[in-house]
Amino acid sequence: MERSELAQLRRRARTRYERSRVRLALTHALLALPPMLLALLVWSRPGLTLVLSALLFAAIGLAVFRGRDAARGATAGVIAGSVPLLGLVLAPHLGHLCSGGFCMSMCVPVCFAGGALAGGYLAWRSIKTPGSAVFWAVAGVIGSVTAAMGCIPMGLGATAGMAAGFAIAAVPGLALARLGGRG
Amino acid sequence: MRPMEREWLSEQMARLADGDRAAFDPLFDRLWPVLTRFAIRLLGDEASGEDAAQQALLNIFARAHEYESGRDALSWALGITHWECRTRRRQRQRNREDCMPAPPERLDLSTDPEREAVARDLEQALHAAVGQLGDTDRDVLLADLRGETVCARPATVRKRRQRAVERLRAAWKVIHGTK
Repeated sequence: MERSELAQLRRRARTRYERSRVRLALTHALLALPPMLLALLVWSRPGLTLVLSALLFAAIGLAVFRGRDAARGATAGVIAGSVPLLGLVLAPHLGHLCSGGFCMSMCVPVCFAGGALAGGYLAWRSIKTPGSAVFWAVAGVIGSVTAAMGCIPMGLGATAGMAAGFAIAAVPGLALARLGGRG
Repeated sequence: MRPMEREWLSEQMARLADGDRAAFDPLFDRLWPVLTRFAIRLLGDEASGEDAAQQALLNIFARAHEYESGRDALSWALGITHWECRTRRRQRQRNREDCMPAPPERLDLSTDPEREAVARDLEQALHAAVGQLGDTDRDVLLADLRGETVCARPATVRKRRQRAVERLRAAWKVIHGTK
């Protein structure tokens, strides 16, 4: 086979490969659907939910297309972010937390706990299979967007609670992973 | 292929499946000659072998994301190539069957020599009648018989044809004395 024909074959093979990665990315991006449907069912904020869902879809798609740690971070982020989201489905049914004249809705503690669980999960993943900075960045962004679909409609307090819980659980895990020699 | 090379191939394929684009070129360069030799040996000729190897290589890279780490990449790639060669062999067989000459028509044993003689006589009679016509009439009738298009308006062609047939009938009557 002549050089030019071989070069053309190489280009065609590369195009096929990239196309297959696009198809893979689009399939994985459908992971954005369950959180979106859940948020649409529970909260009456369709505009915000659709915007966050579009962001989530694009982020997952890009991460999976890129592959490697980014793709792994995307999957981990969706799983982690789904924990606070699921928690918030239960929160309205848990009533209020009252103590000595002070009362607050369960949404803030639930978001905090959800964020902590999400951060803990990512920390565990990072220790078990050490991830790079790319893994953490992608997992953090995607996890936050997923969790935000549930926490943002509940207000600033709930969102801040989620972020605090995530940081408290994730930071030690990240430090441990780095001490382990990778990250 | 040596075991170390096979291991290297599997590692590169796993990296490519994971999304590491840097593994693409080394894999392509290593796989192409292996698949070509394999396909040529299976199909028996260089041109078909190269075609099959090309298609197999394209399929391998289109399915690279399906490759499971831990599998032997060479076996996987050769499996895809083998399937491609088998498809081409089947196609070749089907083409050979389609191109086989049609069986000879059965002889029409009911041909009647008398009928043949009558047909020959009619043909001669027609030639004699047509020979009496002018050039224009002859050309119109021949063009009609051959299904040729005449460069004239349809109404004009119809009229010319009608006149030619009338004159042919008249000539036939004169020569043969029958309608």
